[in-house]
Amino acid sequence: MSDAEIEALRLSLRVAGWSVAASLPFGIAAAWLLARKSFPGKTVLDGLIHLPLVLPPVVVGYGLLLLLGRNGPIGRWLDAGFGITLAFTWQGAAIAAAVMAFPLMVRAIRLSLESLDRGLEQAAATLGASPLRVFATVTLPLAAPGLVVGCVLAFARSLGEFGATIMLAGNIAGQTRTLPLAIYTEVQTPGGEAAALRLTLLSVGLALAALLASEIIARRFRRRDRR
Amino acid sequence: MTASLLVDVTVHRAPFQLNVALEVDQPGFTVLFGPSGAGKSTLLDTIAGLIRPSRGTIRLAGTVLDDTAQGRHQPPWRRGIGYVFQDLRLFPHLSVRGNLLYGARRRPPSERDRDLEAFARLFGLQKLLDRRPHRLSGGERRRVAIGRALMARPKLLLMDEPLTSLDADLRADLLPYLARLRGPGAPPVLYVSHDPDELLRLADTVVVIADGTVQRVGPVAAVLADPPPQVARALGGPATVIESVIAPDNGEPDLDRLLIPGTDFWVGKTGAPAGAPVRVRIPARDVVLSVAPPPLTSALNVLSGPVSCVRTAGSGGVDVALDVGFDLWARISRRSADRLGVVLGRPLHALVKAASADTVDRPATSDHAVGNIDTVPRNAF
Repeated sequence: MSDAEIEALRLSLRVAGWSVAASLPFGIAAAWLLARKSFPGKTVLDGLIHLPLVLPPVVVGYGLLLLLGRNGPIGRWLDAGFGITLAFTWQGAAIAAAVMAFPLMVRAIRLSLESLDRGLEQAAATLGASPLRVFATVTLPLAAPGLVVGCVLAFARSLGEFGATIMLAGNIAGQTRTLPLAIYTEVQTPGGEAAALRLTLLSVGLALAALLASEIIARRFRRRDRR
Repeated sequence: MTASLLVDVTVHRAPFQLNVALEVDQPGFTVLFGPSGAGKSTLLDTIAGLIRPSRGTIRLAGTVLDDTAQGRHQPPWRRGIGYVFQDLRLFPHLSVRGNLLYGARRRPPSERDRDLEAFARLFGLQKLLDRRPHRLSGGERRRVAIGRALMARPKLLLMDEPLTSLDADLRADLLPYLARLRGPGAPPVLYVSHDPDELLRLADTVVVIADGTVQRVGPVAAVLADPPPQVARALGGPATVIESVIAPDNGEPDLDRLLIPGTDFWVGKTGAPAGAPVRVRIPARDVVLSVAPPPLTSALNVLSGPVSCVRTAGSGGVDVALDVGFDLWARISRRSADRLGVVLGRPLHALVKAASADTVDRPATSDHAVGNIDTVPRNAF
């Protein structure tokens, strides 16, 4: 593999890793709200979270660019206040990937929260555990299989993100050219077919490895929690 | 250590409504007895704070836990009330040790470890501490659930049918562990059951709950002598309950003699050693009355005394109590009552077969009778 290809791989892993890490707290919070609480606007929140699943990625990317671009309301504020630029940076690519992967993550976590035995949380409360401690010591550990599945799905989805990424972060070699963008670029380049094939196989391998790892981890958790 | 519990609540819980006024200021076991679906578990959930009453107050040891008029509701984790759930609810992701220690986190580590050792020994869990709940037997799980609740040092312990769904052998194994909860320093226990045998073995006080409300409260002997109609059938009708002690060896292979003042009272062999406290239940319908001292019969126990109470039973019969040192109840027909000329004060003789008296071990609340109690630190009974 060429240096450029290795660079694309490393960049993809970094973008996907940060995408998952940064969205996990929000994913847990959103899943918890949707699984446990009823409040006005819940349906709207649910819809908003799932929007990236049904919208064309390019539309999501363009929307993000309008918001986060240097002239967008949030982008301008970030630039003026903190000197942070998201558009056409790898951080922007991570945000695009996170938004696109968010519904998958929330769904998995929400499912595991909904199937969790609430009686165990009640038992913890009668043992003197505050709601926060119950969440940290009972709810989260028991929802761990769902967290793992959610993270892996989001990671795999982030690795494959193309449309929203190219709109928000562009296709800058060494900065925002992740695996899918590199494949696209190689195919556009005369004589790049071999490199495109290598990167394609690499993508397939990564995705398979991630799914396999999640299955193994989830199975281990199921064995632990068997009752 | 007696923490008095005052409950006066209404709880709406489809499809029924629970309306309970109750005061528990006795140490030991208070058994909430009643048919399934009478609202007993709902009452425990309400006392634990898992359900908010729609009206009323709950107080424990002077602290207000619920007061709907003032909008006060203390959350379960601030109540200091232990709960052994019917479905146990052990934490599947924690070891037995982790489960036991869960409620003891705020105490100093040295005290915690000492408690862990003591309770593990008390409930026979020393060798199981590193196991996960799914690798325990049904009886072991129940012992862990009880130990876990006690490790949090609750002011009151709620138990919801902890022996239900166990076979007879396992129940027999567990009952001695439950009896240890009657030792000094143990919290008062509010114990839900619909099993007459558990009632006889464990109860100090009985609260009969049926149709969503309290039908009767009292010492076990008083309630069993005149059970409310909703539970009379389940209990096999009225019965006399006496507390006694096994007499020294009598040479009979199949009988025990009890120390009852003024008489020898024979019961079927219990297996308990001489001096062991027992509780005896004599169903009123198994007691035969006679105007004259009976000639030799197969009934080994003949007790004599004047009629101390007569009441008409709901089913048309008559319940007659003889004062034989205690009140001994007999259920006889109206016709028999007329033939015997039953009136207050008339001296009569009662025949009781040894085989018709249920006798159960009844470890005393004082420490000498309770197994491993001396290995448990102060206040941990």
